[in-house]
Amino acid sequence: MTLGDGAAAGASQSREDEFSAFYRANYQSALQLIRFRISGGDAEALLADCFLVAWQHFSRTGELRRGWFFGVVRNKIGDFYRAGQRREMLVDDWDPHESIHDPSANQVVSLDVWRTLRRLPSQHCEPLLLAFGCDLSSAEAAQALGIRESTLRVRLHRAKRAFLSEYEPGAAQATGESGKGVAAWIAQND
Amino acid sequence: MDRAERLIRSARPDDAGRLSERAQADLEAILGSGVVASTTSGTEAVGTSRRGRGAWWLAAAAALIVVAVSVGLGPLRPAEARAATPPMLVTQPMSNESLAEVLAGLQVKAGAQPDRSGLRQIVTQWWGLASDVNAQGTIVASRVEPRRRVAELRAKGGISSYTDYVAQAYDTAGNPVSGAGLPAVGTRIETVELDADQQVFVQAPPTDPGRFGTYLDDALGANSTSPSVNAISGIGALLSERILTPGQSAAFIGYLARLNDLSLLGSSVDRLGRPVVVLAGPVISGKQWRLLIEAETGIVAGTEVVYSGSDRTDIASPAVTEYVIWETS
Repeated sequence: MTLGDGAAAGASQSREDEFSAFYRANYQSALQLIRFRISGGDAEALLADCFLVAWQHFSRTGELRRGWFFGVVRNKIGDFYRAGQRREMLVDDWDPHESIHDPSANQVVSLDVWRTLRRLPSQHCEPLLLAFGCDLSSAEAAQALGIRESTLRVRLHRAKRAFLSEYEPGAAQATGESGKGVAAWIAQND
Repeated sequence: MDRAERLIRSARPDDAGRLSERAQADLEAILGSGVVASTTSGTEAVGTSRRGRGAWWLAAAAALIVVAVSVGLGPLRPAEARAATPPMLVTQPMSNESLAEVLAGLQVKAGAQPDRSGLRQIVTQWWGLASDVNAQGTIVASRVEPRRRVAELRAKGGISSYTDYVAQAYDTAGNPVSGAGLPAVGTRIETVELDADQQVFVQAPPTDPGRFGTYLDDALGANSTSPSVNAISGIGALLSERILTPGQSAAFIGYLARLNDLSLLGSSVDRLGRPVVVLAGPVISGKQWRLLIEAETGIVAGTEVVYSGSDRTDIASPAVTEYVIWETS
């Protein structure tokens, strides 16, 4: 091996390390997002395809950005639907923890949260999933959704309100009208 | 962090960084695949064995690299062309006045304007670099056609509907763009109806500068560590939904004067030809939020986001990545 070969091997190893770290950091979030949206398919296979795209992109450009990556994931899910592989998933079928086999004491509450998310229309659940479920920044979630960051903030606001209204319908009903429900929701905020 | 965010974050599986055997195997397979051309494999793996599936999509990828190389599409070819972005505003320094003096003058002007808060229509022009990503990972560059949005307001506040129209497009040099493939200016794109409970800013904005920051944060959450960024993005959201009274506009300018990370970039002429004062938050992660205030009225004229980092290849640096300008404000 020449000196140049050694440098090339070192650069290659460094690149693989960087990609591996990205893979580890984002694997579960992305898998969760895919499982949330599809059933009857091989979520891990679809995710592997997403990461292969990311690896190719990284190899060409040296870029690994989460907003970009989750945009790929969203569109792979779209391809899955368009390919006719969709099977409707019942709310009670889905368990975000199914790959872990490590139920926690918080799991009952967690399932309520996830089931609530599943009942929301996509314009609400997608921003919530990306921003809080996948822990993307506003800029990253906006890129993944293909919208402006300022738009994302407004959509998140509306989505959070819709989520709480669905999660705690009693609180909203008690006020008798939506305007007061919003006020109640704001009052609940930290 | 509010209750909804806290609930969703706490419901996430506590397994960050953990990889199953399969995930580990997939990672090794991906790293072993070399630099390859994009697959369009989709997810044909349903019902196949894991090992068989992995072999299938890697074989497809390997086949495609042969094709890519054989037709001269070297893998090191630049992946994405840079997206066209709108022209940057040119600012002139205002060396004779401090930020505090400028804001004090604008606050007085804003408070002296006629009250237009009873109007029922907000008209904006906006553009944003969407940078959507397709399933093959290619960034689908935004077109530079801006939109003109006409929002109809309810009597009790909030937007009842908005309609987007095609607005005049300009290239990066600022020249009007028209011709084949571009929709005619004024073409209606879409109309969106909004329910009453979709209103973001339920309470009336304050007339006390000391309460404006809390008001914005209560409605939208303080997403940035920079109060200036929160103020600029927040006023943009607010003015998309409400027309402020003179007292409320003056209170916002007064609130800006209290921010410790706001800077004065200078004077300029906005995209509608109006003289404006340009203020800016700090550059964070290569991005800077800017606020345009009409020099003659003290009314907010627009917001812009400018990218000036070095980690993107899809756009030039610096470049405008989004803007909103108010025809009515």
